[in-house]
Amino acid sequence: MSVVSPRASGSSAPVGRRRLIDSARSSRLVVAVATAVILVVALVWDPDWRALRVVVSVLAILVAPAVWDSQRRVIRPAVAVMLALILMALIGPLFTRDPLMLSVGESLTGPSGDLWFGTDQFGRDIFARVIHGARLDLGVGFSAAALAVIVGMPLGALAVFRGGLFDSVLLRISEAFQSFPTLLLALGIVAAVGPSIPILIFIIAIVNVPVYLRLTRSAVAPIVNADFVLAARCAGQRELTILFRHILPNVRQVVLAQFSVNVAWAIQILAALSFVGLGVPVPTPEWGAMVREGYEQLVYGRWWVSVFPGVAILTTILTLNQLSDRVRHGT
Amino acid sequence: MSTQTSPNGGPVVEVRELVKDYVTRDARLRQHIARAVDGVSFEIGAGETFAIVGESGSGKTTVGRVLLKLTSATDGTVTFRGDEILDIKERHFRPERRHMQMVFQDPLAAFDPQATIRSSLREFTRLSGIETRLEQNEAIARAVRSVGLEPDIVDRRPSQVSGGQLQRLSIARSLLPEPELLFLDEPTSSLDVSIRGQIVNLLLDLQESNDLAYLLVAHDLRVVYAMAHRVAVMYLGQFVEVGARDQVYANARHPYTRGLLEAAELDEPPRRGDPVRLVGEISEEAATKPGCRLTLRCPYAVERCEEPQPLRETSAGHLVRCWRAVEQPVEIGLPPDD
Repeated sequence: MSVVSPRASGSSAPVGRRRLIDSARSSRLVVAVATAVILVVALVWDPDWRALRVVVSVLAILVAPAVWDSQRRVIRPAVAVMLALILMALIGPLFTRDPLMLSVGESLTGPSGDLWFGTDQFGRDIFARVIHGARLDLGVGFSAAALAVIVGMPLGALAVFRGGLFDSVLLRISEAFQSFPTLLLALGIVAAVGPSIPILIFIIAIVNVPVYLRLTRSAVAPIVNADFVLAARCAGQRELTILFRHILPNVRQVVLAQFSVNVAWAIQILAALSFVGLGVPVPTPEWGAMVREGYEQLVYGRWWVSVFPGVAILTTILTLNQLSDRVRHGT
Repeated sequence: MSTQTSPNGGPVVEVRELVKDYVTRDARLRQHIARAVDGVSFEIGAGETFAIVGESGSGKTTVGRVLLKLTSATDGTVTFRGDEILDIKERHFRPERRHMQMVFQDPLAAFDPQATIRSSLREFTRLSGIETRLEQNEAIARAVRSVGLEPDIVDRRPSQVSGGQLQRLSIARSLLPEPELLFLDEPTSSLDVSIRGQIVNLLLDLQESNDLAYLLVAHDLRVVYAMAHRVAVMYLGQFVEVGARDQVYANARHPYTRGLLEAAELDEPPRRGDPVRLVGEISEEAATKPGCRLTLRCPYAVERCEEPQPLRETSAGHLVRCWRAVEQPVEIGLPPDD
């Protein structure tokens, strides 16, 4: 805290430059809010996911500079892999065969120069299906986690702000949700409502809202009476302004760390639901469903049917966990 | 020194019988009431510094926070610029906040860590109705110069600035809305001893040039001596001695005040009366007693001290909450006259 930069005296040139950076910061916030809005609209409205693709592209462009760690002059591997996965989901499907086309080759042929990941029992191209599956798994994972953040984070902060009965009721409800195993809860709801992609996203989001609610609540509680919040009150700011300008930005990092873990969870839940047959309808390519279709073949030595989608799930989840770690430690 | 008055006649702020209870509930939902402030009255005039001294836990910071309506009061009245403010709803009070500002103990905690100092300062320009960015930046630059810093420092983040500089910026920020009353909550205690003097001098200069009323809360008796016109000594929610600075410092009547001064080992002013050594520590259980709350720590405590003790005047403007100091000064080691 006692460090003073050596060019403390007099130079007025950097002022304008820094002001630019300041405005860049607020424009990033605008992008984030706009993204959230488009995301919600896309979920409710757009069955073909076109808007979602636009959003994901924007996000990818925003994240891209983070691949290079300029301080240590190295590539951040987790960010690079994540970006590759996102790009794969976005433009990969343009370069593959039709994942639904039956009998591209013989059924259950092993990996070869022509069919890199081999074919499944219906002769479909597994490589094409893994690539297309990325679109669905990442799409569902990200949007479910985003929806959970959008609902859970303000609710958690509000719980601290309002306190009292509001806080208690909210906590009891979230405890009720959390007392069920996540998968079982999702299973029950899907069994009752029937599987479709928007419903899956919605359900995965719902079971994750309590996570963000509690996380935000515990992160906000120690700073809700911090001096800088009192100062903002002295400045005559309204409570909501204080919440969004001073409190939520200060818990952003904690929540962001949880977000990437949460995307991984969402993909796991989706894969698990698909594995037991309650996820996406056949024949849509989805990693979890593909693992299930392939596991009977394992005993006959036809490993490629479920191993390749399995590796895709593994890579994605490991990458997201690694990302979350990086965010938490601020590197 | 008697109370000075603001241009419209009365004091800037007038506090009467202020009470603040903190209600907590334990695991069995039983209520526990802790009375942090118990019937405090004072007033501050323009250009005057009123200081409250006392140990941690005496409730002195709470007084200031209630005064600025950052915490609700349980009872009592606060009249600011002629208007009773405790009953005003926050919504209507917000524009009035420009007239009363606060300087915090720890400047690093008083600034939003993820915002630039400029944006923290900018918030405070809105209160005085400055709308355009250009004018806001000019106001910020003026305020930062007035506390002796270069304006381009505001483009850093709080963690990139030294503690002393940050406290100057905190003072600059509190002056941006051009307040009449400044609540100084231990403004020097988190700073290095070497820069305390600078901050004290800065505050004195600013008071003189802006005719500011200061409510100073501190436990550093040297800082209080340098800044205050009048001093109140607070113990467990009550004022035990109130008076002009020299009355309290040179002629302390209450055993608690004498104990504090003794412990501080001040070189000046010379004190009259025997030195008092306080024993034990401040304990909140004593805060519920009807009588004197110091009896367990006071070398002069007798049976009558357990009766309720009003603040009594020993000489003009000098109030003491100790019957022995008024009626039996010689027995408790004081010179007979005030």
